[in-house]
Order: sequence, then C-alpha cells, then structure tokens
Amino acid sequence: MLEVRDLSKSFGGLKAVSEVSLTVGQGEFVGVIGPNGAGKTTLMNLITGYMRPTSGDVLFEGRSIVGLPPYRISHRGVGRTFQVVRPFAEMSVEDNVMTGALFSGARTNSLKVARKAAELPMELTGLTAKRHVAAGALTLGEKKKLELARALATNPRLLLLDEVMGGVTRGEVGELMEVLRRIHSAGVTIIMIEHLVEVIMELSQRVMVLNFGQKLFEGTPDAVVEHPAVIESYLGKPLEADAA
Amino acid sequence: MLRSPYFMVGLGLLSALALVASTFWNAPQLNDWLFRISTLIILATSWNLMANAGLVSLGHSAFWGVGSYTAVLAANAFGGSVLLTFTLALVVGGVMGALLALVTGSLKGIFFAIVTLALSEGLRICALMVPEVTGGAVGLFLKQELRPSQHTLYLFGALAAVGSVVVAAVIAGSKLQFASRAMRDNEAAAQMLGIAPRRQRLIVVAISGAMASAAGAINAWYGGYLDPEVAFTLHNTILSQIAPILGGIHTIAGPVVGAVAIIALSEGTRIWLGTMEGVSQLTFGLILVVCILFLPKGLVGLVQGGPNRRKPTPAPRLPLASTQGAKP
Repeated sequence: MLEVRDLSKSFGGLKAVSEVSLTVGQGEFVGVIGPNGAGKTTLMNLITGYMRPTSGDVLFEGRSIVGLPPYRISHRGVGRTFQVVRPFAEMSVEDNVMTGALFSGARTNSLKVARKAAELPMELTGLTAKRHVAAGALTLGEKKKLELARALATNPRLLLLDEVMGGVTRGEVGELMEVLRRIHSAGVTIIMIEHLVEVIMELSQRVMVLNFGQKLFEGTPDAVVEHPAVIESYLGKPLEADAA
Repeated sequence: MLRSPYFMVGLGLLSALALVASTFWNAPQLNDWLFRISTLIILATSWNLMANAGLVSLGHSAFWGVGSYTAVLAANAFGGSVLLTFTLALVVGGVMGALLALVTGSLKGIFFAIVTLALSEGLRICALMVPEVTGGAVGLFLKQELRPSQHTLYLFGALAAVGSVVVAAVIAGSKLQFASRAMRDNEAAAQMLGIAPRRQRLIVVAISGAMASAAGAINAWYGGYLDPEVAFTLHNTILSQIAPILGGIHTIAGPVVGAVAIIALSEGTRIWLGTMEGVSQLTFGLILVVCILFLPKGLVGLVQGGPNRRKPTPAPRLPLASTQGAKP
C-alpha cells in the first residue's frame, strides 16, 4: 500500500532523514519510535507532501506521490494528524470535522451530507457532546482527539498518526487505543508515531525505530524491545520521562 | 429575540426593502446618503469576504478605481449603459482579483496586504502616466448625455448593495465558507483535509474583486467625473475595512451596519460640528477609535450577546514548511 524507497531529506548539512525505506501492506498497523530529533515527523512531512525529499521516492497504492501537494495526497486517501495540534480555533468541533468530509472524504457540495459524515468520527473520538464548542476552547487532549476525528472524516485508507496520545490523560489513552483498534479493524492501514512505547507495543504489528534520521531497526514489537542497539538509543531511558 | 436567525433574516429583508423603496422617494439629501451607504455596503462586504479567508486587503481602492475607469471609459467609447458597464466592471474586477490571487500565490497576512497596497498605488500612478486614456491629472468626464436620472442610480445602487449581501449570505452557507475559515485559521492543516488553498483563494479574491469593482462603476456614474486621485483614493481602502470592523468582522450584517454607522457618523459630525475647522473630523476619528477599542466584535456583537471581548491573539504563524519541523 505504501512504499518508501531510500527517502532522504537534508537541511543544509544536516540529514534529518537518511535513506529510509519502509513497506507497509494493506491493513497493517506499523509503529514508528525514536528519540526526539530522530526524524519521525520529518518522515511524515515527506510522505504527506509538506516537504519535498532530497532524494528517494514514496509510492502510495503503486503510484508515486512525491511532489504532490498535501491536498492531492489527502484526495488519494491518506489522512494525517499533526503532533502540534492545528484546530480551526474559531470553528465549532462539528464544523472542523465537517471540513474534512466536505473536501476530501465525501467530497460533496452538500453541507447536509458532510454533517452526516461527521457524526461517526465525532462519536468514535467521544467529541459528540462538544460538537458546538469552538475548537479553540478545547483542552489539549480534546484537540488531539479532534485531530483524529478530522483525519477520519477525510475517509482515509492510510492514516498517519503523529503523537495522538501526547497530552491525553491516562484514562483517555485507553479509550483512544480502543478507538484506534476499531479504526484498524475497519480496514484502515495505520502508521503511528508515538512516544508512549507501551501503546506502540500493544497496538502495532511491526515497529520501525529511527535514530539520527536512519532506520535503526525494524521488526516485531517483541524483537524491538530486546534489540541491544534500540535499548541503548532509546529504551535505555526511563519510559515515563518521555511520556509528555 | 435578537439572536433568532429568523429575526435577523426578517430584519435584513425589511432593511433591503426599505433601502430599495427609499429610492422612489424624492428626498435628495437622504437619497444621497443612502446611495453612499449602498456603495460602501458593497465595498465593505467585498473586503469582509477576503478577510473571512484570512486575506487582509489594503488595496480595495484598486478594484474600486479599475471599476470606475471601466465604467467611464466604456460609456464614453461606445455609449455603454449603466447595466452594461456595471457587468463589464464585474468581469474586469473578477479577472483582476483572479490575477492578484495568482500573483500572490500563498502570501498571507502582512505580505499579502503589502501587495494589495502596492497594487492600488501602482495603478494610481499608472493612471497618471497615460493621459491619452485617463485624461491624466486633468481627469475625465462621463458624457453628460449618457447619464441616467439620479433616481435610476439610487435604485441601481440599492439593488447592487442588496445583491452583494445576498452573495455574501449564499457564500456563508456554502462549502466556500468552510474553506475560507479553515484557511484563515490554519492553511497547512486545511490542506491535509483536502482543501486546495490556491483554488479557494482564487475564487474568493475574484468574487471580492468583482464586487468592489462594480461598486466603483456605479459610483463613477453617480459622480460623472474621474481622475486618478479620485478613482484610487486611499479613503476607499480605509473605509472598506473600517466599516466591517466597526460593524462586526466576519459577519454578514457587520459590513452593512458598519457602512450605515460610518456615513451617519461622518455626516453627523460634519453637520453639527462642521463650522469648526477640523473638529468634525477629529470627533469622527475619535468615535471610531473608541468603538474599535471597546467593541472588538463590532456593533453586531453588541446585539448578538455573548462576551464582547477580544479573542486571545493566536501565535504568529510561520511559513508552511518551517512550522512542520518544529519538533521532528
């Protein structure tokens, strides 16, 4: 479904992402971990068209999506949440979610159809009760959920999650994990960046570890926690300290 | 009651009817005020449309001026009627808006504003440099024999003002409104939801440009005279934004209420304080400053209730690419 081939991105002399390759099959749930500055978000920006790679290629469903603007990639069926939340602050929660349905998911001119399409994403993320609240007035955890709801409204076949759990309370992490399981079992392929390693371990079928822009390791969650290089670079630190 | 949408729509329809009906009444001073209110409503509604999409225009007099010249030149050259030149001005303004959107690409905020300001000033100087066409600083008269009765123009202005508000209302209930607000709040995030910012911007700026240009065209018929200073006066740029801000920015009623308030205020201070040199304008300015300071949601915000407080200023937005990599 998604094939990343030798993808590199340099900022001046710094190689933020260096020859990373990753193949994700239909219906997979892949976790991406790595210390701060490992190039995780850059990788996501490269896949979704916010940055142009210095070299390498990204194929989605067999066709290259390098050079396409983000909205075209969204139309192709890739959804994404942002680590630094970007709600449309002056719009209500419902309008935020509807926007995704209007321009990408349902791609309709009818507000009525879009409003209906926004119901399920809001319900899944537990935002239905807050539908008329301005997005700017939400808590950080709720804004993260809104990111997810909006991305779901675009009806993606591939969903890229950039730290959706960050800033969410402990109790909500469990709820969100359940939501992600449901989305995954509905047939959506998911790639998830997450600092909460226990979440990644529990949800993903495969984990990629990035460090200094390079792929350090790729394998099953169990293999990852046992790999010495991974432990040294990342898991050697206490897990809780990174939870923020 | 004041918050009910039915009440607001009813009030809007009644005001529209009253405005149109007033043009059949022979009261020259009142007619003149209402005509000026009408053109200002169009101009302010047009500015508000761009502001809705996060595009602050400092050059609405550019569209106004181009519309004015389109009307006068077309009328003088081939005897075009008011309706014909009005339509022509709509098209020219729309094309000009589209070009502006293409040229400015993804420029936002102050950068977009500067381009619009430069456009307006540039056009003024261009108009001075081609006296064969525009008459230069001497100016240009619309052929007297072509001019319809003032009452026809009052009516035309009133109908156009109602039309512009209807267009704004239709947009407010459409997909374009969602795209505009999303782009205003966060253009990068809007893209990931499938919004093509440049296409949406092109539509918004073209509609807005067409409106402002048409307002200029009607006004040119009313005034009958143009020179570059009159056509591209900064005054219109300023009024086009003060009216929506005073009335209530990002609302449909705001530009209308603001236009009425501004004409009432400027005429009121002129009539009562006009004998004292400068005092009338000082008072006008002072009242505007006080209103904008204490009514950030405008006069419309007063009646619609809710806290009339300024929203916390959002953090400045960096260009698209650099905000992404903040914490890879």
